[in-house]
Amino acid sequence: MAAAIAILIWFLAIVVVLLFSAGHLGSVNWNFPELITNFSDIDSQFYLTLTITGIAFLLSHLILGYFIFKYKDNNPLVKYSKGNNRLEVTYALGVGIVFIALAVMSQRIWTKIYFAQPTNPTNVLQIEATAEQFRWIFRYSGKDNKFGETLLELVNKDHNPLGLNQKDTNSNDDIVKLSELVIPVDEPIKLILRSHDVMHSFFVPNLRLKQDVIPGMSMATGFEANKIGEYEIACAELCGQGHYRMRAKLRVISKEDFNNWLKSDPPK
Amino acid sequence: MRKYLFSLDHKVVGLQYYLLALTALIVAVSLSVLMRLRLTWPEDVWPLFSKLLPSAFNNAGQMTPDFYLALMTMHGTIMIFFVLTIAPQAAFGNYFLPLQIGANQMAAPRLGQTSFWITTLAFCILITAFFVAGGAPLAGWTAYPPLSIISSGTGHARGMDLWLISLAVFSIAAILNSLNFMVTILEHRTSGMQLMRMPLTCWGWMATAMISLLAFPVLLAAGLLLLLDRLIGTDFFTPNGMIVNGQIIDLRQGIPILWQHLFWFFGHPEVYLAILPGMGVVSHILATFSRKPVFGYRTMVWATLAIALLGFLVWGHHMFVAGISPYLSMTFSFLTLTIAIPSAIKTLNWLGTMWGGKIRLATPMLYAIGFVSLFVTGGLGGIFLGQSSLDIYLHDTYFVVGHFHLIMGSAAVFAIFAATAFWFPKVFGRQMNEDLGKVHFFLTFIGVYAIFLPMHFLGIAGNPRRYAEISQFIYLNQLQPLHKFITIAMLITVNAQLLFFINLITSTFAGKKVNENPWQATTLEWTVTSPPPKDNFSEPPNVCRGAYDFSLPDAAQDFLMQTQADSMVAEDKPVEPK
Amino acid sequence: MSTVETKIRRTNTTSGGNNTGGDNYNRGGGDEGNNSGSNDGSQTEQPKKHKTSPMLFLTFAMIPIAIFFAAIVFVYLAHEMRNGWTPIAMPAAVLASTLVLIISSVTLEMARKALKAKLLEDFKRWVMVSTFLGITFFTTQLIAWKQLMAKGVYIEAINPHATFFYILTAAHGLHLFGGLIGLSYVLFGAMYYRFSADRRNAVDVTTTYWHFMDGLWIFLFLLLFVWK
Ligand code: HEM
Ligand SMILES: [Cu+2]
Ligand SMILES: [Cu+2]
Repeated sequence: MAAAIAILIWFLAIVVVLLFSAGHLGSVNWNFPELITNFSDIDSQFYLTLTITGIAFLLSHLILGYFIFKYKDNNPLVKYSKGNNRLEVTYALGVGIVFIALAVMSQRIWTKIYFAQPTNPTNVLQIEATAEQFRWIFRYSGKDNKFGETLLELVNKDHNPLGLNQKDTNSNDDIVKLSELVIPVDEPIKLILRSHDVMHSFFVPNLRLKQDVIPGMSMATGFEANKIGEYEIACAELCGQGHYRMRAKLRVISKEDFNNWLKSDPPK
Repeated sequence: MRKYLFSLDHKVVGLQYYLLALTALIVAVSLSVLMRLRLTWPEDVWPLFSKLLPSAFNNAGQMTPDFYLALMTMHGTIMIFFVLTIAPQAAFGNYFLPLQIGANQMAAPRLGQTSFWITTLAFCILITAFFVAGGAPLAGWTAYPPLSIISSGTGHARGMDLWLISLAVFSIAAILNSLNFMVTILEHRTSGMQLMRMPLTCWGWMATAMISLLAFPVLLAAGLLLLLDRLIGTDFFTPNGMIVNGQIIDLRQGIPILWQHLFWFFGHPEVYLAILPGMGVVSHILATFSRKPVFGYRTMVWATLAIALLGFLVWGHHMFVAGISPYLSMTFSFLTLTIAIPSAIKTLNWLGTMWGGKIRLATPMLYAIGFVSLFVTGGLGGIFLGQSSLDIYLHDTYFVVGHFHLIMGSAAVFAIFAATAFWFPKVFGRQMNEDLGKVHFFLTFIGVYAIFLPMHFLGIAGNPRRYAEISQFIYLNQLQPLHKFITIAMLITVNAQLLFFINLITSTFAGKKVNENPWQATTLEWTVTSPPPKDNFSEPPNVCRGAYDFSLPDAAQDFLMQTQADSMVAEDKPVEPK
Repeated sequence: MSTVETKIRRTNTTSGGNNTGGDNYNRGGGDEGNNSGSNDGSQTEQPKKHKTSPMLFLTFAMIPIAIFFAAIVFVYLAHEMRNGWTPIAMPAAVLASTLVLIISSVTLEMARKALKAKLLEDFKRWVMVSTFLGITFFTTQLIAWKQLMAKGVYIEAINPHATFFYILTAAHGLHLFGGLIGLSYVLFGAMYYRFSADRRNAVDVTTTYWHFMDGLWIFLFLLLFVWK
């Protein structure tokens, strides 16, 4: 019995480690989606944490199995011990240092994401993303670099999804795209997020980017894609029955293509 | 009958709570089965079931996505509140707390009975939500506004109101029950039962009672305010400028994110509330079946209290990407990794307890070992999620679902199994069947790993949670085999639970009869007959030692009851008065 | 596994001081540490009488109540920052009810003093006054609501300050109603001389709870109408 349980626990520990390594090595489909930005800190922090927790996991399970195996019912010499304060303190310090170190490293990445200023702020392309049940609507400011006014009263699902006010001259050249975000490669993007109804969350797995969208506020997030291709945008905050199909396409194209795309009127 | 239903005996109340929790568990597991089936095979039709609940099916006879979300909401709510808040705490606590501290009853027996019936009422209200117009709510167990404020349409109508009312009623019951626990522990300990001599189970119950007193009033207040937003159009959480069902809602200036603060201020301590009594029981069982004192009893007590208190300072880790200040996120991230330290210490102490012992692998011990393994695995997932920068990616993906199912859905449930098998002989004078128990342990232990570990992979691959199906995304489609694997593992594991129920029922009538202390444990409940007499102790026991005096060197036997004055039973040493 | 036949040796010594109350737990036992040995069990104490003190219940009951209000106040403070926040003018009746409640606390304290001093008649009189004042408080609060509604300010009104006023007064009233029930019980007992200087648990509990509700109301009053 004891041997069976010990072997089960060891076996389990090894299987778990193998499965996670399989993901790490990229040989199975449950790995991260392809990373399309040069900002790879999140992935490396993940793998670092995976290594550390993996060691902790393996150690604790090997010990657990070993104890079950070793200290059987017939052990004649039970160690009478009520604890060992020095061990506890050392252990707590050790664990604490590892955890805090991880936290510090993670905070570095966090500050890079949230507080780093783009090197050339004027260069940043601003795009507005509006979430509604159950689609994403994107808007480019057009030639004048200004977003026109929108009014909720004017919203019409088919003809004027954002409720653009045509009286505002800034609106005239605004470009509205349903469920497709087109961006130039290698260029910092500033995304302004709004919601027409409930909370949503702008989630681009390939960019490791997620930001909740709260109605009544506009939130901003920034990113840069460094790989041309077609990717997917999902909604990651429960927003109603159609949550699972709130999909948009992310199309990363070259700068020239993008400029041409902007000029072609209406853009495809 | 009436005498039994409304009995003031704490043991009856405990059993009633246990039965309620078991019923809730069966309901919630059934819901999760439906959920997984819909998620994995969305095109399947359900001829029989669609007649029973036509509103849950589309014209083609397939389950609607609304119904998936309703199932999910109800599953989560029932599991969190009606299983994990009441089984470890109210059920086992009401039964065994007075027995373990040498009291004849709870401080306020009537209060205990009342809280049970209020809880039952809350459960009935919640279940009713399935059958009212619009059906059960779909906003998830977290009920984030403004989704939860929309008051018409499938999953948004009366069901949501009932959900809120049920939780408000539940909160009141939880508060009353915890009052009773606190006073009982502080005032009804028998002579010599100093706090630092209490079994760790009692510490677990005390910590959870403290958490309940501090956390549930917040849920109650938030729930009532949300209800007002829905019913009379106040705007605590209703933002300005929404278009709902084609109608513009403006002139509101509520703050939806306030709900998240309030909810998680309650919600995070709530998840510790679900696990702390389990930790207590597991420490207790590990010591008893390793024939060793708990390794670092005092550290365990402090770790329990530290977890209970720190639990109130980390709620923001559920909101890293919700639009709170990035500085606030950094603080919460640090605090979250700090709270991992006492949890890690507990793990060390569990292993330390087994080290050098004389391990008897009876079923309660097996479940306890399972708990340790699942707690470690699930807890390590928390190290990822607590780092705000990693949580940007992992938040609201299946990684989270896998993480909390390993801790709460598996470890805490294993603690319930362990406690059931451990105390069954005390309650019925009979033992549960060991062979059935062992088979059940093996199947369930392997089963929960097979279900919930792959969910981490889904999360790493970017599968968001609360998706009714994955067919709409190209990058998710390739995960279908993994989803299928999980569902099949789930079906097998759920069926294996029949073993537990068969064991529970047959052992009640036909289990092996045992004496009053079959596990040779040391605490007070094992000094009375099984089942315990109506008033527990004919004379108040006198406690002379801590709860875990196993294998004391030079002692006449390998365990000393807490009532035993002297380790050398044979010798007659004079007792020094203090 | 063998059956257990522990010879539980009960200690019959009558030494040891009288251990009343639950305040001996902090002394801790020598049951920890690596060398705790057999002399562990030498401490004997007299069996305690188990009597639940209602005061302890009250102490623990006040915690969740305070937190319940704290949660609403937290929402209130967050809303105060929104634009267009214009506090309503204080209904005149609110001032009256505040004074009444404060006085009722004082009279109730007088009642308790009287009871302690064994002046049962005085006690009865003070309790009657307090109960009357308590009921007056509810009446004046209702009048305040009436005054507001007469001005067309309702709970679901556009003015959030009014919403909070209604909700906080209602929640406070509901809790104070519990105090009023306690007070009626005390009044009933006072009329039939059920209480005495050393039988006054119910009086102490009710008084403390009443003071608590009084303090809570003063806080809410300041929050709603003074600190703006
Ligand atoms: C038979 C075992 C179980 C299975 C197969 C299962 C399955 C699931 C599934 C499929 C979801 C929905 C995930 C999603 O779509 O986002 C879910 C959610 C959830 N489950 Fe379980 N579960 C089980 C047991 C438990 C237990 C024991 C608990 C107790 C804590 C629990 C608590 C929850 C909670 C809190 C949610 C979240 C609901 C929400 O998102 O609002 N589950 N479960
Ligand atoms: Cu969504
Ligand atoms: Cu949490």
